[in-house]
Amino acid sequence: MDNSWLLTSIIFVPLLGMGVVLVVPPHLIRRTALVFTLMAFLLSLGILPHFFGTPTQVFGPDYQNGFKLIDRLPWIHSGGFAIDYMVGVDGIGFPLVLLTTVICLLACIASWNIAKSPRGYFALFLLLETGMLGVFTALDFFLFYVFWELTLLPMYFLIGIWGGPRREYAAIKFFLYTLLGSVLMLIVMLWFFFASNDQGAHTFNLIRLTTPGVLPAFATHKTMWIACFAMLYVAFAVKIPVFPFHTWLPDAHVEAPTPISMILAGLLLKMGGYGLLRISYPILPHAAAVQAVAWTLGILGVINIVYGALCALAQTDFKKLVAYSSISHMGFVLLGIALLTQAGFQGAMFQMVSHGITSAAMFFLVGVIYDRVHHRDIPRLGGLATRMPIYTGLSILGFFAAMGLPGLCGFIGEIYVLLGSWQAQVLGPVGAKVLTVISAVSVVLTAGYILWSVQRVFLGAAKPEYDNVPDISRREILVMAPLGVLAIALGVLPWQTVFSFVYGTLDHILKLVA
Amino acid sequence: MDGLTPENLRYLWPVLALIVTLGAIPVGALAAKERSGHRGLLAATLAGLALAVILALRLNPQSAIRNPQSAGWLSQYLFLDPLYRFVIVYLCVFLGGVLLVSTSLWRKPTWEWPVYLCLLTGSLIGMILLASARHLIFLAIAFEMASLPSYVLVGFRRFNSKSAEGAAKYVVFGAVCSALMLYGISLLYGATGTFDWEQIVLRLGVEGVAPLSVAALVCLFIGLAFKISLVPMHFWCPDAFEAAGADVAAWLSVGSKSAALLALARLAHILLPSIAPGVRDHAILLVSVVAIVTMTVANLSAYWQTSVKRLLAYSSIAHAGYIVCGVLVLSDAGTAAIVAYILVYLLMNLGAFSVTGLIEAQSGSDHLDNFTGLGTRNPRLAAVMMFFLFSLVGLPPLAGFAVKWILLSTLWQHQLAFVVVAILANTLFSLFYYMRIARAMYFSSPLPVPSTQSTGGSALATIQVPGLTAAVLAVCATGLIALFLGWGILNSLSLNLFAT
Repeated sequence: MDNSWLLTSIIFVPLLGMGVVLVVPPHLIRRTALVFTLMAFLLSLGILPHFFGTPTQVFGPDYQNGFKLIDRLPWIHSGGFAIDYMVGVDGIGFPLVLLTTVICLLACIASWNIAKSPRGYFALFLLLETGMLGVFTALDFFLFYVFWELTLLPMYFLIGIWGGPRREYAAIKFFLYTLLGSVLMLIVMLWFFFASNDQGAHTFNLIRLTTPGVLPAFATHKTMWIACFAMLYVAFAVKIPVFPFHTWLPDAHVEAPTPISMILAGLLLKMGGYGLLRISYPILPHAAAVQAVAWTLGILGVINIVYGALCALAQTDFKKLVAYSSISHMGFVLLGIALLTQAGFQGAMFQMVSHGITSAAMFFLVGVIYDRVHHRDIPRLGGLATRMPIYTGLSILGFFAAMGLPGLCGFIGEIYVLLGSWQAQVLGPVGAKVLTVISAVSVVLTAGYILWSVQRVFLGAAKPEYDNVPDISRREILVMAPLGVLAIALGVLPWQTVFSFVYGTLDHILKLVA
Repeated sequence: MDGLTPENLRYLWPVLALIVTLGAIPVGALAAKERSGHRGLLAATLAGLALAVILALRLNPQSAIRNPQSAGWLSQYLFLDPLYRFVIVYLCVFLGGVLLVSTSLWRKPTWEWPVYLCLLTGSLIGMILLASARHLIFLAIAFEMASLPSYVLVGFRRFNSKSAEGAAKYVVFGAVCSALMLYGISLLYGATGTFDWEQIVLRLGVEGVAPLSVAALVCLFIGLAFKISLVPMHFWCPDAFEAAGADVAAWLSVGSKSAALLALARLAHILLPSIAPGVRDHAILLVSVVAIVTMTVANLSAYWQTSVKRLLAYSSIAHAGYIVCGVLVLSDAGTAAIVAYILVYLLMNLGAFSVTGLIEAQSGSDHLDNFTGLGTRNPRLAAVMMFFLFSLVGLPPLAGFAVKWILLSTLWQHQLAFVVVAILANTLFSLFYYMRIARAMYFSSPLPVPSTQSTGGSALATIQVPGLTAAVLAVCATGLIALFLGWGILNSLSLNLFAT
């Protein structure tokens, strides 16, 4: 087995950092955490060269199992189990790995002013990073589940200890919702494992499970795959989050400290969309192709888009507004995946990456203003443009990117999803077009709440109580600038930055379904 | 009957070593001086336990299985199989851990220490024999041997009215249940004319079982269910654990429950495969309903507790409900799952009760409020407690998840999916009350004013962790991580007990 250890070292560098953070003297804690997140980021850049070129060049002519950099070690092979430590990336895994290391690095810089027991904070932060990187790389269902759960514990404490006034409620709600999903995923895991027949043995291997014929009973029993698909869907829908499982999100995002909100919105939500693309669709393609399933998921996606935008319009809490905008934007991911078109899949994947950037940026920007004026009440803000010109400029960039202004990253994802859903065949000739029109119209709502909040927060006459508010600091620019650059880069060069890497894998998944 | 030859006595050596230890403690207590005796007696008891472990490890139970004659008359009373050896090692090691923790919780006059040691060792012998008994009279004697010292241990804090109440409930409940069990045994003897379990099973009949025998079997089940604390025979458990010291509660929650669980698993796995199918299906239905009701009732009751020992008592009832599901699987895999589970259960329960004991000993009560702010008062202790709590919930990366997974997959393979769903739903319920402790430790800041006179300012003081207890806690916590990373060991170890 020729393991390259690259992915393994990316995953476990933050964990190592956690160990170091627990023992270094207090004044070095922040710097240690920064060093290890930076190391994880630099290592993750090492994945890039493996993905340059056309899919044929990258993966070879046999694109069946297009995974790169696979590390595989036997883990548990007793009592009838065959569980491997197996990680690898393909076109949908590696953009999210890079996104994770980038956002974690920036969130680490954004965490510089955490004053309450920094040792515990950074230790949990690094543990969380390991968990997320593991989720995006695991190729063994059991390992995937372990990493999935591993993100739960640190997040619970990061919200519960360092969060806002209603942090206890938000933390337990987050924990409970996710655990509900995990429990259902566990049942599917049992089901898959004992139903699988890979050359006479049961398997957890996610690549083998996607191979036709490995789940023989599933090929014939419709109820079986619908049941498994539904349970997996709930597990992932809680994370995305899809209506009606979304109610944990506004609580958790609003109560979490700023850097943790960045990670929650930027990365944790992506675990849901990634799960659908990595597990639900490739392993249960028959279920995904059922018209009722496509209808349900498509409608839920549209509900997310419209409902999230309407809720965002009604908010006066700046952070809550951003939280609801996440729900709206993640609706595009679900819609794009549900309708089974090439453009829709690519748009959904692009939307995940671009939302990772814009939502992290927006939460960070809200955090900056909260640090200065200690409230997030939009009606009380106003006229900040004159006091904080640089901050206002960066904010407008971030918010417009989220709004979907052409030339910035939010636009590409949404337009691809809409293009895809317009062409979709799975809902019959009219159905998909109706959903597309509704979603397209609701883009106006997005523009509405973003422009309206920009107007209320930044424009207007300067208020005397904000006379002494300092502009954005250099450290904060250091966090915001890369996000702004990425937002522009993805918007201007979508093919070179994202699509060229992801389309091969997505086409392969789509081929399994069709 | 071929008398007491050295050959067959070999299997009894570990137990004899414990009996000698039991006899040596009072003698040593009389001989030793008041002060130094305390540690000396502990060392002597630990040495006795270690000797029993070594003797047990030197046994070769495989030969007893292949050639039952080699164990002679002894094999008429005990199952001398690898599980017998496992139980000795398991319970002796566990008692060693409990004793090490006891040293930092001990607040009584020194002269009571040897009494305490004797009672624990005595109940240990009872539990070992209970888990391995095949002769029903022997089973009943072992049952009482395990129970009687436990009653006294629960009431050991005799100047405390709660302690008296808990012990009294335990005694009354225990007396009724053991009477029922004896009655069941006598009925079985009437129906079959033998006390040997395998003979009884053979004579009960393959076509159908007489109603009287069914009643007798149910009575036997009730007796064991009392020890396992299955609903509705669980009422003693929270009261007894609240009454007892945390060390005794840990001992009872793991020791007596696992002994009775293994006894039940043994009896059931001989009885159920060969009994009439109609009776078997009803028995499985009965046990699965009892198990599901047990875990659900316990998890829902636990939420309202403010005494952490009571909370952990309900948690132990819920876990008994999970573990007993292993009995439903009519193969060795079921018992293997039980063995793996109780191994890990030992680590997490000993740990959780030890931390609670430290808080109780140093701040006056085990009330949930006394855990407030432990995350800042003693970060390491709080972090370790989180390991135990998360493992009790059954979350990776801790061994509590691995054993739950082993249990669930065993059940799944034997078409018991509805039990799997029940256990998982209960896992979700249980999150709430375990997290109440986490919330107290981390999310609330220490109360500004001490709540009552009795707890005083000490309620919020730093909690000291004496060296021996710290070592036990460290072993438990690292064990939980290590046994998760290498949980294949749990699997192969437990399955090897049944390899022939």
